[in-house]
Amino acid sequence: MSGLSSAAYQVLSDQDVVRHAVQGREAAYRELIRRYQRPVFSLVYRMVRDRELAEDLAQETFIKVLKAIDSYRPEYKFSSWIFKIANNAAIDHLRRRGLNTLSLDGSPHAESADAIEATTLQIGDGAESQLEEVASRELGAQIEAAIGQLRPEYRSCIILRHIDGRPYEEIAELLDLPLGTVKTYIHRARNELRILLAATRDS
Amino acid sequence: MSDPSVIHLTADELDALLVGADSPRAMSHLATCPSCHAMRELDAQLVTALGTLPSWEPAAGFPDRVMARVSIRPKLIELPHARSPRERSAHWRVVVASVAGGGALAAALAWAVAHPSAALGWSAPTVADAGQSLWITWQAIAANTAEQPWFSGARDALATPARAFPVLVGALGAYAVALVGLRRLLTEPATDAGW
Repeated sequence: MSGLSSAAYQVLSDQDVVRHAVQGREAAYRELIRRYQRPVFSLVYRMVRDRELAEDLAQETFIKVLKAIDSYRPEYKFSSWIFKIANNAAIDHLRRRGLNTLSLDGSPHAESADAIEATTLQIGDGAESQLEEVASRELGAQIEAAIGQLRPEYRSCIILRHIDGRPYEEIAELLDLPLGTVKTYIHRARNELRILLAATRDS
Repeated sequence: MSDPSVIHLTADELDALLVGADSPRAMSHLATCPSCHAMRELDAQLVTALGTLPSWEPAAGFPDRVMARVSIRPKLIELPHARSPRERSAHWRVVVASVAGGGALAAALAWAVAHPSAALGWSAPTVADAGQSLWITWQAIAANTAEQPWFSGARDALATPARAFPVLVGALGAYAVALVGLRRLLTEPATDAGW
């Protein structure tokens, strides 16, 4: 069986691309990375709030997934599998370091002004006018900062539900939590975000 | 102060409102409860804002960095075992012999079914002769064994269960040792055995 071109892989389902990857096709591996590098990196970045660290964790996630591609079970969504591994990597890191809350001012590991600048979140790429961009950046930065202050479990839930738009059932499966717990976490996370954002506005 | 008899919206009802699944109770309550109304508005604003947050991209060259650390093992396609000419000819000999033997047996059976009286007439003396030959052979072996000098000793040793038991155990042990020895003899030596 001859290999497909990179463009041909783009129209295939995740399951089909995985099937080709299992056969040892490099283009299939690259297609999986192309599809998921952005969402996986975004999830991890929002969890750890450090670009360099997020790159390392995202890289570890992909390496783990691609090395174990033979063990992927096609009856489950590939996205659930990879997000589960990414989320676990981020949560494990946060638990190891005890970094449950973070600030807007760049990475807690940054040791120089340049490093702080490089790791600070940049918000509001899609704003239409400069004024809107500033307002959007400010609101976005406030929300990102507030998410960073949530407990890691709440953080995962709120990101997966309201930023990635995943259904409750998938989040429950992905985080190995009961459905009721996921709903409770999301509700509490919203409450905490409202309070944190109100406090930011007042100050 | 709010009226304690009023049942405010539950978390599930607030979630349902966020996705536009309005229940009649939730809607009628929202119309009369300013605090639930405000909470629903704030929730909706928050969820809208969360939905507009941008996604992030890793630095350029991310796929290459990942691929540099992943070794791809092409799955080997197992080819059917190719037979050598000698194996092929042996295979065909076996096939031809099987077909000839099976055909002869089937033809003999068919003939016997078609001519039962003739088949019985031929087979009865043959079966009787074969049985008699077997019986004579057995008698000869038994008589010959009984004439052996060790036979009386062996018969005495097995005369009672108490005497037979250790002999039996010893024989079983010797059998097991012989099996292990035979297995070792038949096992292929390891390639790294240092020979």
